[in-house]
Amino acid sequence: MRPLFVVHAVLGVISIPMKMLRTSLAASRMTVSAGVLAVALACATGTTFAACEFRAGSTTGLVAFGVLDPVTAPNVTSAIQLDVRCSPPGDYAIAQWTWVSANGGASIGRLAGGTPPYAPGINYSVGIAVAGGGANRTLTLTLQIAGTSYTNASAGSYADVLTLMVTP
Amino acid sequence: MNGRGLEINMKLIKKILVAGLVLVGLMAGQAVYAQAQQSAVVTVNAVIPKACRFYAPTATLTIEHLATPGFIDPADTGNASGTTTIAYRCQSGVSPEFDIESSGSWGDPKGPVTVTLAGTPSGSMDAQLTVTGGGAGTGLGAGNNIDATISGVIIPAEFSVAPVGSYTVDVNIQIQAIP
Repeated sequence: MRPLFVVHAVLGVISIPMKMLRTSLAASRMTVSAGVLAVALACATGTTFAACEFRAGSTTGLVAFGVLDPVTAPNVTSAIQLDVRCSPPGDYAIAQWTWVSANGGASIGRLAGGTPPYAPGINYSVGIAVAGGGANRTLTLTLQIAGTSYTNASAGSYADVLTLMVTP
Repeated sequence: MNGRGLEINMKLIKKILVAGLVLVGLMAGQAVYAQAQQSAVVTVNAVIPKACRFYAPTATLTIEHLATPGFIDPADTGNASGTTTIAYRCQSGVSPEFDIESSGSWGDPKGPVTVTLAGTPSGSMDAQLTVTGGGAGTGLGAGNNIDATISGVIIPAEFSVAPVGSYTVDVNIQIQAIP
């Protein structure tokens, strides 16, 4: 895991000054300086190895399905793209992209609303795909509503808030 | 400060440094982990308009005298009449309104609207048609059918002078949700 790797890096930096500690008091001062440097490196490492993140301008988004026809009720799909970054790029191999729906939870997205309120809500599926090369890539968020999910829905406006997360 | 004292102090400093750096390293690790929990917030929305629709493509309305089923008795002084139904569905709580072809207006109940039946081999008769809905819908999904009633009347003044024959007309009826 990434946190343990950082600790190991810090200990590696301090191992050299430790040999110098046995020689002189001046060396101990150097060690303290080295220690400070190690701490700084550790903190710097925390920034450098930020792993994966949603880039500026891609921390919010909107997926608008528009007006759905409950009579013909076709399956509908809508998608947006978000800019993401993993550094180093190799972290894409282990990155876990997860999501949670404010109304549906972590396994199903759900739009809530309607007049009168449509208790079952309008369920939608969530698909996440990351494409591209290098550190900066494009995440495509694809949402799909099956016609059967809204053909019986009350008229009105529906909404949900989908939070996407990435680890590490 | 002798060499041994220096050695002891150095060991103490070493322990403090190691402990401190491990702690800081762990904190840095936590910082990395926390920073790795990057997130984005996506708003999702959709609109469902009010809607109603028929769930039967056609219906047949037979106008007759009850005493002579299937026929109109030209000597009968009472109106010839008939009713039929056609299934529709609307969303929960949404009420329908109807229009009969060529009437150019919507209403519930809709009518009466005059339509002209063409006779075979000749002649014609006017009939008054009315469509009455069965109330607000309960959903557009299966099992939510509601019947609209279509009623037709031909008055004696029409059929008493009409030539013998069969009379028919195709009429389109439309449905929409009351806005």
